[in-house]
Amino acid sequence: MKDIGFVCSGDGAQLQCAEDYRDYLDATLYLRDLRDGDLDDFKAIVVPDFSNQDLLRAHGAKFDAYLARGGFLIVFEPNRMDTWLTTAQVQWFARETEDWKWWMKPGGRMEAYQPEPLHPMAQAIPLADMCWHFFGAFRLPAGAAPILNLDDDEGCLIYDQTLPDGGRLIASTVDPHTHHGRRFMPATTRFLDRFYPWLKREAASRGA
Amino acid sequence: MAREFRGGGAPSFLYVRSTRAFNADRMGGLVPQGWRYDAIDVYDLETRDLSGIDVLYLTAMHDQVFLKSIEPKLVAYIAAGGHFVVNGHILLPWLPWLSRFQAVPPKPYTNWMIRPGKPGRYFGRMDFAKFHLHEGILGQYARGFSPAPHGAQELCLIGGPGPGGGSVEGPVDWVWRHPGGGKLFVHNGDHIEQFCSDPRGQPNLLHDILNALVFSDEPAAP
Repeated sequence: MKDIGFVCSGDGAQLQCAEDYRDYLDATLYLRDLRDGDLDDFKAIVVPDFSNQDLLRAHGAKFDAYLARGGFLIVFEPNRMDTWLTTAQVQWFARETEDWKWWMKPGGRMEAYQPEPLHPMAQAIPLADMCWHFFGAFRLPAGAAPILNLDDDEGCLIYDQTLPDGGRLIASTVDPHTHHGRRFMPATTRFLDRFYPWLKREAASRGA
Repeated sequence: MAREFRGGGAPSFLYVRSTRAFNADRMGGLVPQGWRYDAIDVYDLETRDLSGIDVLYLTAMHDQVFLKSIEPKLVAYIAAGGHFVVNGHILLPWLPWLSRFQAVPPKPYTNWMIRPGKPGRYFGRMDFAKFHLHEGILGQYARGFSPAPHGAQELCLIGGPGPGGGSVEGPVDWVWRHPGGGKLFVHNGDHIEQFCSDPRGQPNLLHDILNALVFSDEPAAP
């Protein structure tokens, strides 16, 4: 079994990311042509931000089946996974970044923190590299580990959930691929530079 | 005598919706109201009759893998006189005249300032000190360019010195005319209709680009 499959909608930013992180990706899967069973060859599947939501809805059953068989799925918003993923209940709600230009102000910060700094993804990616802006927030599912929360636990921006049948979902409302791929916002590049090596190790540890 | 367009008595604009399905869709309010307007999903291009379309408009997030798969149809469209507006970073050139996106060094930040090349009727009314800023932020408009084909009009330029002492510059916006056919306008950045194109203001960049495509002789026929 291969480690990481990257689901691509054909957008330029996603094609750019697939090139930039090819050392960590075992294959790029073109979403429109996704067939039953294609996802099963991979220990981890990444659905990058700003994917084609219509296609995700059309292929939603394949992602559900992958998770139900114990797969490791990582989905970035804004993809409205709450509308096409049913194996895991995702509760997304609209929430705008308080001030998307916070980084232009002295002492500025995005209104988020890492509630469980010992989580391996939080250890791999520091808070500063998780913060630029976000697209909505989640209600944290019971039993899930929060990786990035809004201040005062108003909602969750990244969480890690192990499902009863062994599947694992990391859900994120931050959108690193679009900005890295468009060569805009250095924090998003730092995020991905740390995320993919971590994910590669994490996937490899899931056995053959 | 009234001018005839491919779409009939008024130019026709076809907005191709693609990957992005998140932001509010304002396009119907941005295109000149005297034009004919329609919008389709990108995958419907495979079967859509394009003979009555004057301008085919691709957003900055479009499925390049799919468009490459229907390249002969798109080549036939421009060869027959249809025009393109293409936004975004091209990684998989889906027309023979498109090239891969090249980023310019982001430092110094002035590399992202947009400068006039030969702006003509496309950008001639723009204030280059600010038309490309988004809420005052530099760089949202574009971070690079793509080489233009021979004979193209290089409308706007981007780039400057790099870390190694060299210089990386190129055309961020260019337009090329197919011999005997239509024009290909390429904006190597984010959705251009988000810049200086609110219908309540003048000058209006999107209107100027569309009118220059359809009504002007720029670039000159080879």
